[in-house]
Amino acid sequence: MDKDAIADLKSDDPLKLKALYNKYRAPFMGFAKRYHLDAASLADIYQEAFLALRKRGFSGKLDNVNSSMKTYLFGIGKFMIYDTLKEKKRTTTYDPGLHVVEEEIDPIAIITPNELTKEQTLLRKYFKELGEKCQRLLTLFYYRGLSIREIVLVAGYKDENNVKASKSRCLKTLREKINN
Amino acid sequence: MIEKYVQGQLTAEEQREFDGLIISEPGFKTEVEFHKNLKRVAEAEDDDNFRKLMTDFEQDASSENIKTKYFPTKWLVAASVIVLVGLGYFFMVLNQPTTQELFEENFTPYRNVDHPNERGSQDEDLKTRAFTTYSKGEFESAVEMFSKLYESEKESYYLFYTANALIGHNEAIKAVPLLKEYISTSGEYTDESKWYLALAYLQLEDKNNAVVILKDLVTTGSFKVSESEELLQDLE
Repeated sequence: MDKDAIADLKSDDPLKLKALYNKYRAPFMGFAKRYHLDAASLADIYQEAFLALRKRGFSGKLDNVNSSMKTYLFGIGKFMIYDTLKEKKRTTTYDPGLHVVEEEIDPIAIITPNELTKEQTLLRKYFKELGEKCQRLLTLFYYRGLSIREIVLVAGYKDENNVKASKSRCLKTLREKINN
Repeated sequence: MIEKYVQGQLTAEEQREFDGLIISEPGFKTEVEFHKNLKRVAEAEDDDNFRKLMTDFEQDASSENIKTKYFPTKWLVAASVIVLVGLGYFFMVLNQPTTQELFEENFTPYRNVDHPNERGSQDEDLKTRAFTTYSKGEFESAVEMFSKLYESEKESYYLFYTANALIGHNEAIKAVPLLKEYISTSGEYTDESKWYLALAYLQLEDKNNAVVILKDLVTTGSFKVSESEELLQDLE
């Protein structure tokens, strides 16, 4: 998979993300219309598939994928479409002649994260009370799995010690909020 | 060690030690839970923020690229009725796509590039309202507003957008003269106007004229050339 595209996908640059989002949107809609779902459902599925793709980017799972980003994204989308159709208990006849299929797309299974527990919901409330910088730092470290060194580069900290000190302060503030 | 665990970077040996501590040290387990929860919370928050961002992308994409199938249901129903009544069951059993089907497959109103909507803007002048209405697919109102704007400002691109809205409103017959007028000005949307003129002819089931325009576009144009070639193949 194209390394630059993965970097754009993982970035926080809205312009790069938007370009990538729009690049595959119309082709996906064209690809997906054979499943006879309404446009709003397909748009929702595209969003969730794009999000799932991004999450796979964060976890490093895209780094060794041989297929193109488009094929991979469509695979996730196809899995989600099947899931939606199953939920709706609708059957659809596959009509290969309906559109020209550029390449065979294999569905790619996605595991949806569990709903937040009560404890996590409460923690989220406090997390959102943190300053933006703290939220971002903790997100980069805990969720996106960036190393301290990578955080220096991505988030514009002075050096690694600066990141470590900030992280400690953010965690301390969060704990104080929980305990108060 | 907990942070390495959260980032999935424990070595096998560290993992063994970690597992031992979880069992032997209740305090350690609680601490691990806190970090695991924080990871999940950061994920949920980040995902939701990204969903919001995508909703913005989607709004922009939808307003720029209103596919026929995103048209208000009313319009779709009307179009279906017209297709059914006009063409009848006879055509439905034919494998050849009808001009109307080709029209529906290919028609997307030209995206609004001349007056991007600024969210939160208080600027509610006629131009803003016209383009907003157009982007929402409310073509009848858009036609009215664009026509007024053209009368007052004489900017030829209003002809182009009026024609698009007319086609969207299933009034290709009124769109044809506007597009021809626009093409005669050799404005910046000349190729785009040819494409929409061809689609207007398709809506009018005037295959011959559509073919003439598409051939012209394929030979001399730079807009939707490959789509025009595909359409020509379907028509011929």
